[in-house]
Amino acid sequence: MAKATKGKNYEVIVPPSKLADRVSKGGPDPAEAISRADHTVQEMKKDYKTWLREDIERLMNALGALRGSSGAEDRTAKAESLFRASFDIKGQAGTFGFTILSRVAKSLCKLLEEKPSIETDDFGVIVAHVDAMRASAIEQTDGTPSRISLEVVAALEGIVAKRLQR
Amino acid sequence: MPTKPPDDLSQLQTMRILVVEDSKYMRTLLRGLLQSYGVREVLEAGDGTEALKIVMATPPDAIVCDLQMMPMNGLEFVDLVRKAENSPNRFMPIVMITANPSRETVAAARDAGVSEFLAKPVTAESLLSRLLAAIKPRAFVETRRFFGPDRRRKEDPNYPGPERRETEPEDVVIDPSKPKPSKPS
Repeated sequence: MAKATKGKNYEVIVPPSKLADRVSKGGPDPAEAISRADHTVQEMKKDYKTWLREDIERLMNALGALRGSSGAEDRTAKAESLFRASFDIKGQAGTFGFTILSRVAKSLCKLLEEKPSIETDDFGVIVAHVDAMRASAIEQTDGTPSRISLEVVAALEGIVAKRLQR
Repeated sequence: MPTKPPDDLSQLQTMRILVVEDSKYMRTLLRGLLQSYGVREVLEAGDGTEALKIVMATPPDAIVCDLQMMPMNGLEFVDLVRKAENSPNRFMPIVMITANPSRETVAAARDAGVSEFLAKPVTAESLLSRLLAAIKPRAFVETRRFFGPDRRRKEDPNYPGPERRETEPEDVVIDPSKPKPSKPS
């Protein structure tokens, strides 16, 4: 049964602790559980390289649709699909240790989300991001990023920052 | 930064946890992580609408939920779990995950009543620590516009100021010209 303390405009409720009631102390060793879970991530990294191909294809399709869009309204809708594809890559690539890919995706998301409207003269920088993501996925670098990769991503982030200042 | 491993995972062995995530890859990863921690049963949903059906039919003990999903996003889903009259457990521990951990997003998640917030990239350790924090017994607060876990981690009986719970929580102000509707705000 929940216990409640009432104020004039609020109530503080202490819910019944169903979980705590049905277990005793003990269970798996936390360090072992984390190590097992880390191993799971490492194993899935192999699968991610396959999944990534599908994500890049989705990204390319979204880019193709954006480039073929007609008018501001259509462009906004197509940019939204590209944002979603890039947003998914951003989170997943980061989780699986593809830091450069995740950073480029983040940069593209920033442009698509923060720029009040996407214009046709933004296509060049958008294509550059997608190309960089594609190259990064082909290279499949999940280790220490190369100097060139870092320079490319820094340059893309710089271009986005400038565009957003316009 | 690595944190001290939690002490007791015994509760997880008795738990059914629902993973709500639109990316099948992330769902697979989250399932794998939860199973590695020893969670008894993992359920999956691809969006808030599907998740709601599962919550009603097979109430889980906790939820791990992505924020950005369509057609019903994570915040709308949490809002229903917390506030719907027919919710099977309004006190459900909920961990919200997002790749967009902006100040506005965190504020919106807090105001929707999430228990814990986790920014991607997800790691084995970060998910476990948020999950254990979420299932820790915690008081809930209900005001006219908010229902969710008490944001105060400590009570100070000597606190001299006014009881802020007596006033309405501030709205999260979102500039409509910036985040587009289906994107995380």
